[in-house]
Amino acid sequence: MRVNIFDIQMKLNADASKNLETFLPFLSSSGLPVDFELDIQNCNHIDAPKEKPVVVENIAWATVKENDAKRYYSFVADENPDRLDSLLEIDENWKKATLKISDTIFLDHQIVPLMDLLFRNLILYHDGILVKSSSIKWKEHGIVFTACPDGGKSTQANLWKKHKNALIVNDEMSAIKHQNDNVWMYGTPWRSIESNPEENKARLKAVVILEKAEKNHIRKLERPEIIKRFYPRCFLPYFDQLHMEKALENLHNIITNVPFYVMQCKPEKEAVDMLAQWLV
Amino acid sequence: MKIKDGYIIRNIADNWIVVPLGEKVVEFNGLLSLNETAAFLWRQLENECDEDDLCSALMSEFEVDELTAKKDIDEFLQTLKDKKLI
Repeated sequence: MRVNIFDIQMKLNADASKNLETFLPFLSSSGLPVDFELDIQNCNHIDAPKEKPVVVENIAWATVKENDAKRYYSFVADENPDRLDSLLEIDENWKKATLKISDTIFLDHQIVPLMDLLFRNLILYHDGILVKSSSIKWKEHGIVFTACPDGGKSTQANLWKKHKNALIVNDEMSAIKHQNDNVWMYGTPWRSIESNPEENKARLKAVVILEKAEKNHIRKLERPEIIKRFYPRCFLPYFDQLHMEKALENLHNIITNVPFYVMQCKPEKEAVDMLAQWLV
Repeated sequence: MKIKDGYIIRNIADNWIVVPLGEKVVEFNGLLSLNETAAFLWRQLENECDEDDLCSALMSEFEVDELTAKKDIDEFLQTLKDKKLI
């Protein structure tokens, strides 16, 4: 199956029994070269790699060096290492990966968290980053709302849908990419509300950091302020220095090419109108 | 003295930040934001050095007097000790 996700051309190979319905809306007939190939394999036994992994947020990452090449392995850290339910194996350049899934596991339950994990890191090699956010498309512009947990991201996105006829691209996670001095926003395939890929991408007009307040107020953030507020909302590869350096480079390119706002607001139409005025 | 392993420093959009790697994330929640002087001192401390080395480097880089340099260094080293970074 050939798919296009975040403008990354991917080839997905799976046993016939595997359910790849999640990716059907992203089918691609592009003649562009394949950027990334993923094999999904059913296995009756999966061992953890022998190397000691780095464990961050219950995800284990092991880096294995063979001859001059590196491979990355990732699995859920609290699983029995002698019999894993699933294992991701990725080549050094993030061009090819294998997702091994135990025969005993129902695929749909396993594929989502591991695909999240895969895409969080794959996108780093394509000038982007994944962000905990709700994203909308309004008049062909992308707007990303991010906030602390329960900070009103979904509420704000739904207010824009109701009052401005905006399209909710994704309600949990967005991809942001910097390419040729433009910044683009994408929904993610397994969490999108509007999963039509044509509607899933937009040039990013602004990132809006939300704060609940009793009075509506908005201001544009100065560059030195942005990273401290935005960094905690990003999915970052703490497991490896090389990956983190890529993530920080991408963050720099995004922050320096798109405006960021902090909006203190109540969940009401006036807040929507206030932001709309700033964005026109 | 030397900065512990497991941290990287980068200038992101006009802001020097230090971020943790690996299991350091647990003990170092978030990021550390540094001004120009502190970022310079951090980069010196990525290699083994003492306070005299830092003072000489700071005076040379920023053209500050010795008293000011030592005060800045003392304050920054105390911050690093409090955060268990050296």
